[in-house]
Amino acid sequence: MNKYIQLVIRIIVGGLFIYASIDKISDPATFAKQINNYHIIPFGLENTIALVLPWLEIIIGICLIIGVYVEGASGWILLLLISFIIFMVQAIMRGYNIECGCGLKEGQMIGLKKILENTIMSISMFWLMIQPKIYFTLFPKTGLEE
Amino acid sequence: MKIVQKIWTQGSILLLLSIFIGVTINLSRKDSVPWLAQPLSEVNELELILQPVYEPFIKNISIEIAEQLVEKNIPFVDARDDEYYREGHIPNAVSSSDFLRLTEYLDISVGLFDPFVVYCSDDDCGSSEELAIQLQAEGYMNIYVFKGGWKEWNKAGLPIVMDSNE
Repeated sequence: MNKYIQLVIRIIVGGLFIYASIDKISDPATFAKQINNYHIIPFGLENTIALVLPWLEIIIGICLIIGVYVEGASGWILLLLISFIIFMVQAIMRGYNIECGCGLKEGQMIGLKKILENTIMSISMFWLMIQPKIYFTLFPKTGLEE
Repeated sequence: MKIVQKIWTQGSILLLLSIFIGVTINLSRKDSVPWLAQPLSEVNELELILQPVYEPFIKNISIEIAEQLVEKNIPFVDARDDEYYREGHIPNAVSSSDFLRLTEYLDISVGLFDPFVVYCSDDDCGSSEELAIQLQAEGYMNIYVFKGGWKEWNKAGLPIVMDSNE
């Protein structure tokens, strides 16, 4: 049963990351502006992030689903989700009413709903990372416990 | 420790792969994005703004220039949510809530080469620059952003339009 729960979580979270990356890849300039709206990235680095992050998202999403480097991919997803939560919380606390730039739905604003979604996904990724064995992997074949 | 090492190693490989693909794709794009964002430059000459241009750009304008452009009947685009637009907006401004309708309006009123101005609530909102980039991608070339936006306009006591029926 556990292995099927793992697979379902991987497909849902991986699928969301792949889907979220598509708009960002096709229009990095707009995504850079959305990052800039959070007023947290210094030195004009929002462009660098906008050019690399969507590719990281699509690669880790694919890896999570097909079972390649699942531990590394889930580690990245957990790190990104926690970062997104921090970004949104600081923006809300500073009174910014901005689009989240999540790539899932156009015009979606930051708010408690988005934070809750990210928290649920973070918990699921943490649960996946602490599993003694990861099932349905292509490469490497073995899980965390070798 | 073994788990941490594994996550670290795999994570590093995935990051390097992403950087490689990101760099390669950006270099091969026609509309490649500079690696470091540059702030928009500001234009202060009205005559320069009023001329049609044939190279795409987005530039900032001050409130003084914005006021003169309103007097010259240059179209403004309000990038805020429709409810805020209805509560009050700059004269000559149209709402951006219906993007298709907005582009139809711009096609008729300014075409691709004549100037128009985009604004949002203030210089922290960012949606004016975001909308300007979207409109530039649609082919509009002569786009100005009034960074001070609605708050600066309202604070200066300049004329506003309130029309709940629009």
